[in-house]
Amino acid sequence: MTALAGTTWTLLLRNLREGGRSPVIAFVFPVLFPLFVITLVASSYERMAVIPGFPVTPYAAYMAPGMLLFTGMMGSGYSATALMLDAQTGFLDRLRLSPARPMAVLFSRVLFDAVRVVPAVIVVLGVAVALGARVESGPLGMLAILLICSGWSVAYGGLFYVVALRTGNPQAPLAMAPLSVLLLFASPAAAPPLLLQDWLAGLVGWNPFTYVIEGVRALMTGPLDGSTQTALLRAAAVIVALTVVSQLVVVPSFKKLVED
Amino acid sequence: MSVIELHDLRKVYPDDVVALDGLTFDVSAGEIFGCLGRNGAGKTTTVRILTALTRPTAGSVQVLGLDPQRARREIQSQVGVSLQQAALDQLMTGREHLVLMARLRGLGAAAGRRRSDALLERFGLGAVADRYVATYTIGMQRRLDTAMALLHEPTLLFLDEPTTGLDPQSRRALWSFVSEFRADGGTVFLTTQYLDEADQLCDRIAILDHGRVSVLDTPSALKRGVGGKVLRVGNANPEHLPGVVAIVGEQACRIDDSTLDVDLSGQEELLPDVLAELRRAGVPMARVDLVDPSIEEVFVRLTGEGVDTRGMSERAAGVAAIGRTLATGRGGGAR
Repeated sequence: MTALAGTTWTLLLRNLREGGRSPVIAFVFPVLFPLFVITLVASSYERMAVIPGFPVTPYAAYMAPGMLLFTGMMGSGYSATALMLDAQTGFLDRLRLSPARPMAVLFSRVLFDAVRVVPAVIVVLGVAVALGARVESGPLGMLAILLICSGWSVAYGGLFYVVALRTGNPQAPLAMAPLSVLLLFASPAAAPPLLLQDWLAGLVGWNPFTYVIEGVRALMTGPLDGSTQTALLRAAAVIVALTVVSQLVVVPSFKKLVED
Repeated sequence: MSVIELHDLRKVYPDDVVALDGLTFDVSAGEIFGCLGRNGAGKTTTVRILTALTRPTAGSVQVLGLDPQRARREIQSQVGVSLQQAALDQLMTGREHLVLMARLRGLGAAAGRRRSDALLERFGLGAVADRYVATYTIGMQRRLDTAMALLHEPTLLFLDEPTTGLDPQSRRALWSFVSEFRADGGTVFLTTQYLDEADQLCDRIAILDHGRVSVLDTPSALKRGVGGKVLRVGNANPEHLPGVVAIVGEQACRIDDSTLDVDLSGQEELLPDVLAELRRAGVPMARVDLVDPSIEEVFVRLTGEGVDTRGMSERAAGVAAIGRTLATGRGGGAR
């Protein structure tokens, strides 16, 4: 177990260095796009917050939870693509020729997904706070927000590994990028369900992303309904369930890749 | 003592390509063993099975007395491997590659750095150690790959096409390294597309064809034992060719750099006719010699084709082997 942890750590450092040297997809893009959305949309839709019944003011404070999680979704697929490129270039074989445990290669990539979002989320959170967002739960709440964003990055990123490992194509995960926009659209990220068309409001209830957003919102401006604890439990349940389901496909597929 | 033993080894990929079809041979300790074969003959697949990267479909394999599939870690801690595709990360420096591998092999930080520095110097990479691999020449990449294979001071070294794409100077440097490695007590399993390389370096050569060993012997025994002699005419003129071709056939004649080689295997009785034709054409007999065939001629006689006459490069064949492994990973186990 210690050997696995040590190898995972060594490979995580390599992944971070690799990401730092090719920062656009891993680090820059996840910051730029949510920043663009939150500054442009928050100022353009500012008057939404004066609609009677709108739950949070100012509008930037309402929109921030969705944007923080969206930050984690931007750049998803980078790790899955990098993993398949390692396989294609033979670098994975090079790692397999060392006594390192093969699963450490996958774990280090998944951990990278968790770590890479942290600086991006801090930047987006800082700008959101400057625009009027707030974290009413204090420093511990901020820590919990980072944890949820990391967890969501891992859970959502798992879908990209499924596609990469099932197709064997490093480009395939990048083609899945629009999925984040669809999930965002069918969620309460930009407007509460009461302002949405009925069909869309119905869809919001089925979208697991909704519950993760509401978990972060509970920590920032308080829950829209129910308790903070319930909102956090629902968010955690979605993250754990999606992680387990995706990794149930990813781990055997990866084992198959490295065992022949 | 044998360090590698293969018996009736078969590998069938999921796309029904039979890469190995009953491969049997053994490699003794302290030997430089060469594997020659045209593209798709099974050389890279053999290396991948011996180094536990690929599972065989059937047959038995022993490396250092161990089964690669059951004792992967034990074997990989004792063997060094330089794969055909220099498996490097373009965004890492040469030093970072070595230090990373040293850490993965359990060397401490200081020991890993010392060993890395020593290898960088030994392979002439000290001056470029902190540059990204993307800026390296193919020769530098191959040297780095070989250096990585030696980090843990293995006793058995696998070199898959180590000199493909190298300039003559780098090739010779690698040859002398291989000889030194053996002189220090190591064993080398080498695949190559260069027949002169196999001839110069190897104690024994196995010529693979369609996943089987066509012939296995020392280079000199191969040259003596496979077919007959070659009539070599120095300073030959293309005008001499038609008369000789009329006697022995076009397949048996090859003119290269003003040297005409006439393969007499299976038609030794035609030697007097060929000599008469050369005399008639005015070729001084001092320029004519009867020699043993080269390894290339042996190869052509055995496989019916030159080693590098196929369209697909050896490197591409190696990549295909990795690609098949990826496909196997997705599509299920080997048959």
